Amino acid sequence: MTPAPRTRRPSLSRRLWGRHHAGLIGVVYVLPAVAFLAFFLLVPILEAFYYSFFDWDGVHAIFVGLGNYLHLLHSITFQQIAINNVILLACIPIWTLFPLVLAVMLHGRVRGWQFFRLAIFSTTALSYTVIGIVWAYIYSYNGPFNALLSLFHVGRVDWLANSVTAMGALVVTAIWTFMGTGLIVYLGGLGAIPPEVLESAKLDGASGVTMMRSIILPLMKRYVEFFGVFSIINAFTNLFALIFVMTNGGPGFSTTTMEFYIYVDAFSNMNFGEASAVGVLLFVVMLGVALVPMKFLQTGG
Amino acid sequence: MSKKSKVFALSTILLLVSATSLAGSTTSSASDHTTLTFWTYFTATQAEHQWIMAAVQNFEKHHPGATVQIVPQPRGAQYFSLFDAASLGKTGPDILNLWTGLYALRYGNYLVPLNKYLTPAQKASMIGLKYTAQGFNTDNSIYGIVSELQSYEGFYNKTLFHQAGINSYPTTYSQFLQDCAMLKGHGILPIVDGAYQAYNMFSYYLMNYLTASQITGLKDGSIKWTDPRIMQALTRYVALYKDGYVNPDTLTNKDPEQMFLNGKAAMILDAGSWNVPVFSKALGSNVGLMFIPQDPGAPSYGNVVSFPGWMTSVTSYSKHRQLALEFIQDALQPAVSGAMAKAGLVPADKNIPADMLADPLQKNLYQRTQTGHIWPMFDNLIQANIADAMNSVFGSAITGGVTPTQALSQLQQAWDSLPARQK
Repeated sequence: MTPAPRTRRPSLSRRLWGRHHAGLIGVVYVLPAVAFLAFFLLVPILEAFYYSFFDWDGVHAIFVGLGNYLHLLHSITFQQIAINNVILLACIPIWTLFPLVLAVMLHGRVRGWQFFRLAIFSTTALSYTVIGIVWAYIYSYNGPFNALLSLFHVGRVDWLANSVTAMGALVVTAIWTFMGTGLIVYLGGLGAIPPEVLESAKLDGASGVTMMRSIILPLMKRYVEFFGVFSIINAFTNLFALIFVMTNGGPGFSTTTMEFYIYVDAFSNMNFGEASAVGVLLFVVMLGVALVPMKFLQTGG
Repeated sequence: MSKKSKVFALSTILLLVSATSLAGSTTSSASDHTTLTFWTYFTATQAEHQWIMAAVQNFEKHHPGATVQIVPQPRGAQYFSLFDAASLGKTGPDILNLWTGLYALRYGNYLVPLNKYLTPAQKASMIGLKYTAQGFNTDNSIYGIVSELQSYEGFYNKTLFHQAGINSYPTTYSQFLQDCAMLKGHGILPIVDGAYQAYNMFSYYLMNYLTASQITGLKDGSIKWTDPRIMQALTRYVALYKDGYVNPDTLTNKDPEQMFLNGKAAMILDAGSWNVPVFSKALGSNVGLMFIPQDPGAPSYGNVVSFPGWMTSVTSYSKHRQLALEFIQDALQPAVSGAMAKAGLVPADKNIPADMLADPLQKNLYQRTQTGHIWPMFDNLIQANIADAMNSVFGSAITGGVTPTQALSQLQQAWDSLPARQK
């Protein structure tokens, strides 16, 4: 019987680190990126949480415990601002599904689909400030939208100066801004659906709303879920530039969201402590509203 | 793991560490030349910029080793936000312009008190210097020097008034409303408003119900924003918009001055002394000053809003503090004050002879301010965030989004929300 070959004893370093040796090198590689993220992301988050318990004007900080939070919860202004966020949340279904409708139409290769796809996606290349300026002009009293309405003998409205219409105008602009991204997400998803599934549904007589409800939506659930959460995050944290340029949060506080109020409270009211508290509240709210739809969609199986 | 990979990984880390430390290191310049940074919200086309240039040239003449870099910044609330953010990181300017009163005094931590750098004669010569001092008292810290006496007032187009059959200046509020109705009846827009700031015009409505000294009551809360007097003032003010005497796109109109200059409106009332050089040049004798009349017997009847609306200050974190203070000293010399007069503005200097004021409107304004019937810019004397909130809620009121009662309730709520240190 041939004796088993003798294996060399592993080196000290290999015996010390063992199978973690290769992993350690990976850690070293990612360490700069992690350090960068920790410094510029984690530290500010923790500092915001810390300062939310202080009355801080940027120079002097006085501990007030839960004072900032209690003040916000009892503030009529903040209640109105919270309602504005609820309005945004209520618009999320349209925000999420409108690009899906466009994607289904384009997926059907309507005439000029390549042009329409390019035109819709081009919105993602524009800065929010530019979009806000252009739409503010469109909504202006002497702007093209009112000119179009006057052709149908509808009176002119200063859309952004009316507390009832200003929020609606802002939401329409936001949906327009983000529909390009949704289009690309959904077109990718529709491309993954086997064509024979849609063909056989058509042969069975499904079309339009039935096709959308019974075939496309169930198959696109993961993509709708993803873009839904993405839309919620954008609605709550990515409208600052549009609001600043179009309405500056007005008239009154009718288009001030929690995100915008962080800026107002910090730099206009010099109330950095309370602004930090708003930031913490926004984080908690966003976490909740982002997780609920995911849970809702997951229970569908 | 191969030796090559280990060497590569270690080299990468060393490179990153040294790059970081190099970026953080400061190198001292061997140059003797010093550059002071001067922030201003006045653009090069505005008359006040002539004063700034005169101050800079005067300073550089006396300090050959120094230059002043003027950095224009956006106007309004954004300017203060930028200054706030820069000051937190001590990356702000050496010298800057600020609106006087509570707009500037909330930044006392970032500004150098100038008391020991100003002579008694210099302090006495500046009109309204107290509005740059804590508690509006020059015995306390003075945080800036004043250069211009500004006014809130309106202007009217005499030709358009004649076209509507109006041949005399309105001396009562009912005459003023009649004139608006006549202009409207002749198809002429009575008043153009835009780039909306409530406190200009609203000052003249408040004068019907408050004295100048009562403005501090709005600041400290002894007079509530929901006071019936304020309610009456706002109701009359909003009625001007509701009756269709003002362009309907007030809140989104960005250039009302151009509409007035183009003869598209008979009056512009949300204006001030800073418009005199441009309006005089464009319209000549066809333009006149317009002050919204108060009711006879009103607490501030016939007053004119006149106030040193802005100041020049030195930041406490400036790395060239001594040089910046010398800039302030040089800016007080007669050659620089004279530049303000030549620019068509009214200097905040008691020693300026009246015959230096060549423009008739400029002289008219100066003479009105000498009568003693003056009212300060009340937005400078209340909390800046309340002034911002006022623009917002009054803007909603003039478009019918809220009633005057609701608007003032919101304003009072904003005041109630202030931290104690701001009340």
